[in-house]
Amino acid sequence: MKGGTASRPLRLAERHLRPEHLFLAGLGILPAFLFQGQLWVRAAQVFLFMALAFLCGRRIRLLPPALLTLSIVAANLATPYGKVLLSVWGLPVTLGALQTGLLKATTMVGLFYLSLVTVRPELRLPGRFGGLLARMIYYFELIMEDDKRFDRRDPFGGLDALLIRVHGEASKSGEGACGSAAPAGGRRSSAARTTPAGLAAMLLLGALNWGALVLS
Amino acid sequence: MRRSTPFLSERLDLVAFFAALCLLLSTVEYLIPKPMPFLRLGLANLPILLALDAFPLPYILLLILLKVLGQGLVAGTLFSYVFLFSLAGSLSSGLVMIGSFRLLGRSISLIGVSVLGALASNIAQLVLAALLVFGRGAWLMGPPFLALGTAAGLLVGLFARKFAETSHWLRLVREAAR
Repeated sequence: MKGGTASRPLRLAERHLRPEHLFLAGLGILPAFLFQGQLWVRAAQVFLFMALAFLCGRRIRLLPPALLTLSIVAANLATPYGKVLLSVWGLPVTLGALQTGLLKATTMVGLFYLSLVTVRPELRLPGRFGGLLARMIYYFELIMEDDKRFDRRDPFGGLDALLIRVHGEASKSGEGACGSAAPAGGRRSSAARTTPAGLAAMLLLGALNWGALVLS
Repeated sequence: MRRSTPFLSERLDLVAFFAALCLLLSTVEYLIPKPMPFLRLGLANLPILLALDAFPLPYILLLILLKVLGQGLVAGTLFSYVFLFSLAGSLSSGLVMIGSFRLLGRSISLIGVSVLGALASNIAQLVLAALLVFGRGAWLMGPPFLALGTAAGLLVGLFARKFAETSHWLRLVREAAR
């Protein structure tokens, strides 16, 4: 999944929200997303996070999350349980396995986009551990964003190449794992303070997600 | 490699990168079908194995903590019992891996360290399952659980050894971490 960091015309979050406030909003929304047991509400939340990621200037590609969802569901169907819905080539498709697969898939995709929206390279949490945690998530994002193909025929070489590539790119842009003048991120300028519009958007987002949890 | 950040030391920054690698492998593992619930290959332990001779003890413990927290966030299990099992398993396996690596030195390979870590993780999780979820019935799961855990530890250890032998990235990182 590509969560592009290149220039984009829309960067609403950058203009209206301090990264720290955005991160706190993400933390606040996280339980409302994770505790959501209704699959259709969870799916709606995923689409909401994708739309927000787009509004924040992230590149949205539909195929990777679709493939991810399909592969997770397929993997879960391999462990059948619950009511048998149908059989495909003699293999039972069970309701329990299907629901578990879809819940896992929406969790994965939703968290990815929520992270893209709420975790910004400029984020600095107080203290060293906060910075380290944000840094870890940021590097994870960088690795996940790498769109060059992983060579499955050579997993060792493929992983090594991926790490060298990501590590090298981060170093070149002054954010390397082995040294940087920028603290936790810092590639882009960011809002010095949260605007009233940004605050209203955060509150609305929180109310939507928590409201959905309470009502469902 | 270059100067350290004013905020994170160079070594801490590397720990964050290793932790991100844990998250990547954890995500990969999440996609692998499991024949039994709770069964894990433990791919995310690979960076911890690789970190054993790259970082001092406090940094490895920090890496384990970051791994557990990151996995909880990415897998969406931060507020569930899965997080508790993950924490118990990761801490126990991490401590055993550090201990065996430090105490046995060259007389134990990464494969041996990985198998011991996997056993420690499985035993800790069995104890937790017995205490919190299944009661004494948990011990019935013990033999197959431990056997599968040993096999998984062996596989991860083999992967770690091969990667450690061939990786250019790891060589650079080790130089930077020292």
